[in-house]
Amino acid sequence: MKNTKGQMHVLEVLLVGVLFTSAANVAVNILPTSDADNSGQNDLYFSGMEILELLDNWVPLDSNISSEHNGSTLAWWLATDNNSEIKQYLDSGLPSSVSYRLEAIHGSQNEVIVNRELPDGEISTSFRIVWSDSEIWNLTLHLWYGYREA
Amino acid sequence: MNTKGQLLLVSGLLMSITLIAVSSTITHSVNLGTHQGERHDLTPHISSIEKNFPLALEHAIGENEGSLEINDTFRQVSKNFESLFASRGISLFFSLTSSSLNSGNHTFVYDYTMSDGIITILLSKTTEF
Repeated sequence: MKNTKGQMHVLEVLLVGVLFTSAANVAVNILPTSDADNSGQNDLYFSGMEILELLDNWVPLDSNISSEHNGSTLAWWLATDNNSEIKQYLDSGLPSSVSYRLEAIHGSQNEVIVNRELPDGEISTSFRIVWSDSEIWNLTLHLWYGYREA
Repeated sequence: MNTKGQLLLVSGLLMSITLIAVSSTITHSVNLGTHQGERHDLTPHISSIEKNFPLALEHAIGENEGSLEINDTFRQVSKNFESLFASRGISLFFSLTSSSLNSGNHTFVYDYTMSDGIITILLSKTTEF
């Protein structure tokens, strides 16, 4: 066979290429993708959506209050500016590793119901549209992983 | 014939093809990984509409009584909801099938379609008040 050295060199190059691609493929297939996906933020989003949904569907025990506020504790607390109860509910319902800020727009008013400073990192934003006090309340719940201020 | 040169050319071509294949695989895996574990659930949005849209509609009908047709009031309230959901990245569309007023009782039959870009759902609803 002619030029055996050259052919061996080509085979070496091919071998290195095959090894490299095999290693890359194995790495892509088996390495964890937790740092590549955004399921953490997705989970936060649904935590926020569900905690507001639960509060909206929570029927007040007092039948008069319930009928006045359409069977919604959230509508009742919003209508009566009971921000401290909303804060206590969210503080208890969300994991302690999660902090949040709750804002509302109703009519021409913008208000901050639970005021915590937004961090620089990643933030998930959940929301709920609620009928309360003869108005549509557009609630925005910002959530992030981090220290929760008092 | 320059056999060595031809062999190098072939090996270079093979390497190029391999690199393209590998980079495509990696790109595909990363794209899959980005959406891995994501949850797509329209339930919280549906519950928000089911609970709050009829209340907003009832209030608007009372407010606009005598000044606006009930179908126009329905359109007004539904547009408001559609706009609020659109601003959150959720596509929502109401379609009124029929409305009636009998002895002071309003009945609305309507459909709404909701989508988060992955899941699309069509729900039919009858509201009476």
